[in-house]
Amino acid sequence: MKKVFFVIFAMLTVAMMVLTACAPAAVPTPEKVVETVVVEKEVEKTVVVEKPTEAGELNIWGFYDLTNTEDSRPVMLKQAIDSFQATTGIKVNYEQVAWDQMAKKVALAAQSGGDMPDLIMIAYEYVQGLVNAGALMDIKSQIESTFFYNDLNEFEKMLNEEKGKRYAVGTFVGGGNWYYDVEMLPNGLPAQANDWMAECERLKKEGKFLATFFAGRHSAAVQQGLAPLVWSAGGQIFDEEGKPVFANEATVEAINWWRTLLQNKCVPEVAFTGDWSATEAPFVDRSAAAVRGGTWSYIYITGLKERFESGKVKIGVPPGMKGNQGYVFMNTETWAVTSGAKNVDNAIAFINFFYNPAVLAPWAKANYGIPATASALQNPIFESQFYADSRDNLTKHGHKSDVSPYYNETMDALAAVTQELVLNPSLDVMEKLKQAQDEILTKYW
Amino acid sequence: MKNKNSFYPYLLTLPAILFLMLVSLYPTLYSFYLSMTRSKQGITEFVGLRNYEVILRSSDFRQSLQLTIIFTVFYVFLTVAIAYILALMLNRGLRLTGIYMTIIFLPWVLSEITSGVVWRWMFYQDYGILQNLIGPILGGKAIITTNWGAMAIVITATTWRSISFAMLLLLAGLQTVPREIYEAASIDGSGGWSTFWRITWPLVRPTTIVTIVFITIQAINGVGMVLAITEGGPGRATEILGVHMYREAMEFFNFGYAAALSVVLLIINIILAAFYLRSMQQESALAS
Repeated sequence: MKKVFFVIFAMLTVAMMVLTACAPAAVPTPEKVVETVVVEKEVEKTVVVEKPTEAGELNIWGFYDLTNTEDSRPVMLKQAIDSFQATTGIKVNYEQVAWDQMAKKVALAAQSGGDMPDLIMIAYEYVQGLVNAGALMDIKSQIESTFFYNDLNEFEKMLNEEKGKRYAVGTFVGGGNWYYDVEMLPNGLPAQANDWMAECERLKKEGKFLATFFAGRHSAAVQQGLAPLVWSAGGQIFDEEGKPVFANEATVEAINWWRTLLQNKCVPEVAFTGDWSATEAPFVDRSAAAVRGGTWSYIYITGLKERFESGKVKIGVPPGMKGNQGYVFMNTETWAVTSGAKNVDNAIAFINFFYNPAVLAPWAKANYGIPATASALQNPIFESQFYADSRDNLTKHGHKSDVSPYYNETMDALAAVTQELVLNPSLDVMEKLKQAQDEILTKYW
Repeated sequence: MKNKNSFYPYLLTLPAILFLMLVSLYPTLYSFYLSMTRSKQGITEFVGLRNYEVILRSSDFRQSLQLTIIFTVFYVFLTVAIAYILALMLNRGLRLTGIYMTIIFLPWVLSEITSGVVWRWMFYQDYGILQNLIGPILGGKAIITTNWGAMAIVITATTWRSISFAMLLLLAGLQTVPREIYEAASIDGSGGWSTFWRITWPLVRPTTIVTIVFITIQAINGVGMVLAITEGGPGRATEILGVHMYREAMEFFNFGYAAALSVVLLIINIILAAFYLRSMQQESALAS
């Protein structure tokens, strides 16, 4: 008898496990309410938000730890979420995911059929990869009907709208900035790559490097460093279809210039081998006169903000090739709705809330980026030298990154081969570039 | 009654079998399925054996395979050799053995990423302590920036981390050898080297083979330390198969291609496991 009971118990346990695993997630019954609410707390201006027809939940994955009160970004995000909840009655479930883990986690959730958040914070360069993985939703029609759509600046639209589709909406726009030490480079950064050698020789005698920049084994090294040189030299990384075409003379020229800089000790070797902070260290300790960073570097490079505000550091022109003008890449941090979102309307409602100038302007300021809407940019908090110079730099030199279904794969392959070529000058540049390009074409096209 | 009894053991093991199928067999089968798909612009399509065909034609794969073989040979040889020496020393019942064991085990207790980052820092040009010590002997070149240097650092670091695990297995094997055999050999006038070759080595050989197979599988599947130290660079100089697969899956989200790579790794591991089982069977036959 005991055996029979035991067998029944075992079978029931297994059955329960299977049923629990297969059970659909509980969906809260939404309350249908339509009302207009006026918010007068937490923000500087009065915010008018229409309550969505279906209150309920909103699951957000963001970069910041909302319990952190030391950093203004999580503080602002928490205030925005609290205000949004109070205004709309929508319950926000927030989960922190590190910025460089976000794309992996979302892609894995999409692939495995696991629970996905409704809304994610994601950097522009990861969007295309997530689109490929089927993890993001085209939100063009929803965003077009928002109050802020016509207010979005040209940078944001250039970056996030492609072939009639939009998978993300940028909150602020940033990009590459070349910062230089005024005392070490009194005439500023030379506008042409060829003119760098004279300054390099002068600084070498003082035991200094002319510049440092991140050019390691990472797609960002190409996106931020090599690609602007290739564009300036008249080349392309991708063609119109998004196929890699980087095995061209412009890329050869750009790589050869990097080789020259390294061989002549104009840049430290760590630029090609170290991580972000290691490559920036020579600028921090003033053993390098310039650094290629970005608008975000204002927060991340130690002492940069103080040096800039005291006039010791300025934003310079990016190096141009073959007498052409130099470029810097443009980037944006975005909100994106996932393909597995269960509360799409609530996600759009949150985006709508977030784009109110009273919320968006301080958010962009906290990130030292240029707000994505024209009205937010009118805020007096952007009246500083840093914003004026950064805007000027992006307007004159900003270049949109190319788009390809295999963007990250191509950039990584190019980063790997570039690193190899720069560190080993005996290798034939064109031959290795063709080999890397053919590999991408064979593998993905 | 007889039928009921023969059915009963299967029923008892059913929950465990179902659980194993759920957590082990299903993911394996799903990997096979995934390896025959490809995602582009959010659309997943069935491509049959195309991913395998691409793997066979890929120069990146061939390079990764070569690097994996180089890495595995050096890593396994160094790990097992050093672990064997340490195990032999500790088996002699030295004083303060507990302290030695603790020191040897520290690297194993540390996380792969933490250890890897520390190793990377030690080889930074201008700042790294080991770079400053060894660099001048090698002409001042940053060791981690050279292909051979990066591979040497990765092999050294992974060996350093795995020695304790291999040593524990070998020490357990050494402690199963009866003391009486050594005493008898000593009475018969056998020297240290002769005792090792004629007694210790043959008796510990099954454990040694198990250790070699475990460490080899670990080498082939290894990702964490390499990613933390070199991220596969410079260029692709340390991009072993595990790292190559990790990049395809976790950086490019090409789950189909990465799954095909994982199947290739699975086949290599199965061959090694078969070798291990066969060796064990031969040893058992010899022993009996």
